[in-house]
Amino acid sequence: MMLSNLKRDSRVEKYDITASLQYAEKADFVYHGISLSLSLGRVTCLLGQSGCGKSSLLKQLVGLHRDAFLAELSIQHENADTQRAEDFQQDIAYMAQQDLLLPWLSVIDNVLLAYDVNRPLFSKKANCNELLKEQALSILDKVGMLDQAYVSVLTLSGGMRQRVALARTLIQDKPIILMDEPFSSVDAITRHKLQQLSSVLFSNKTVLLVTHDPLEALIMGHEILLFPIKLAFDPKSPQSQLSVEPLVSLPKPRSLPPRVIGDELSDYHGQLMRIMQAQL
Amino acid sequence: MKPFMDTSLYRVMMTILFLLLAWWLLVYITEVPRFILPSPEAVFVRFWQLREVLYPHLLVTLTEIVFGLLIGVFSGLLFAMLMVYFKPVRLWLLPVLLFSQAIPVFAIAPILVLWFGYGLASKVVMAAVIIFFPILMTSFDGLRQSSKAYLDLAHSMQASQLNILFRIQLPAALPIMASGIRMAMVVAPIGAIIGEWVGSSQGLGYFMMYANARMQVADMFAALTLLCILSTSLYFVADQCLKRAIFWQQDNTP
Repeated sequence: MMLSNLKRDSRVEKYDITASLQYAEKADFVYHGISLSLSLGRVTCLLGQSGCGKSSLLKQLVGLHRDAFLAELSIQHENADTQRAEDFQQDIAYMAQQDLLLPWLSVIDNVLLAYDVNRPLFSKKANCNELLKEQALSILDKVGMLDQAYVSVLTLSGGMRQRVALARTLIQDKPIILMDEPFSSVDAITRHKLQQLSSVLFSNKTVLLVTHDPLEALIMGHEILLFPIKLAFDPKSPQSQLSVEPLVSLPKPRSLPPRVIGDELSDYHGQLMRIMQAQL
Repeated sequence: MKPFMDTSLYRVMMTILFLLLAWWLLVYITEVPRFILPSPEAVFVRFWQLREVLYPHLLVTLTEIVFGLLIGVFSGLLFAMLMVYFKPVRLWLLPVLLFSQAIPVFAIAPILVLWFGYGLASKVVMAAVIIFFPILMTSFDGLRQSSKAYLDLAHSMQASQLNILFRIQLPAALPIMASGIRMAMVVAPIGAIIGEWVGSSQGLGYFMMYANARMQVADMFAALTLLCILSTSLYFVADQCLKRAIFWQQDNTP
């Protein structure tokens, strides 16, 4: 079963993405002509050290780089022509590093935020809509927060807050989910639970998970990409901007995510750590 | 239930008692003439005798302050939101507003009385003008400083700029705006009183000028006491309302 699943890899549809980003005219490129592919319905982990630009790439994909000097993004779907970045961004639900719950809203209102920030001014709140309210409650049930639907988010622990953030991401019902180290701020046990939970919740979605933790990538990812370290742009040799090494695809364990931590995983973990250290 | 010694009421009472005692000692030790500094009990007696005279003046001043506060807070907030929402407004209007603050409010008081008359309007405008700037700047700073991460999240949900302003930036700015409103609560009475000094026929400021002209210093102090009580009560009411409305604001004082 595992092998057949791995074989299917070749038939999985993909988004091919190419991106460049530069903050100011004279500044170094954060990355230039970087390309990666996202398999539909799979979890792709983007692994890299702090400050390597992986979060910037994620934000650019979400469309949050309006103030950059140069931000080029091309997205191609195998079975279609070049897709407009704006259309791609319509299909994205984004989950940031912090939980970003609004302290003045209750749990259910935070979950329904995507509807509330899009309704006209002076209209009724999203949780007055029976349909949306039921939807929110059923998703809160899935993340195990149903009994706290109406409490203030100020009373929640870090792990619970991330569960609410997961619910807020899930209710948007978008095919693509981009996550930026969402579980980096919680303790090991909570992180493990959240990883298992989100693997189940996002099982049929196209997920791009940015992380600096090799173990998280190994537990969660169908595919793991290693983000290159940024190279300084040298105007004297125009070639240098193109010589950024491509994202490295890494060997991946034979089992499917969410994987259990065991001998197999620790072997891969060791390999990954060696590769990342060699990058420095 | 806290012991009485720990309540703010106890501290307020002790402070007032201490100040009254200091005042009383000052009057009786230095033996200043009564028309320079009346004794606290003389002021209290006048206060009690004048209670029915002072009451309508108090109502007038209170009305001026409340309307001034409403207009000042509303217009300050409105301009702050316009400046955050429209870049040209920010670039063109902010210098003008900064410059306008260089004009002392005291200096334009006679002009305002000339323009808006002897009645309520000129005092309301005075109070509104004097609190406009603190409200504007705290609102503007609060709206500007909303965390980029929240804005990014809202953008990722395809929210419009106007919705982000009202649903994210505005509530997020409330804790900072609250300090502007608290400040306005104690500053607004100054505006109303100046207006009354310059030209009016009623109000606590008018009563003080009237008493001053007749060297009735105890009457002045009685009006002054009433004004202090009014300002403090306004601040206290606003503070309690704001604390309840902005329940998520952190208080990290040990």
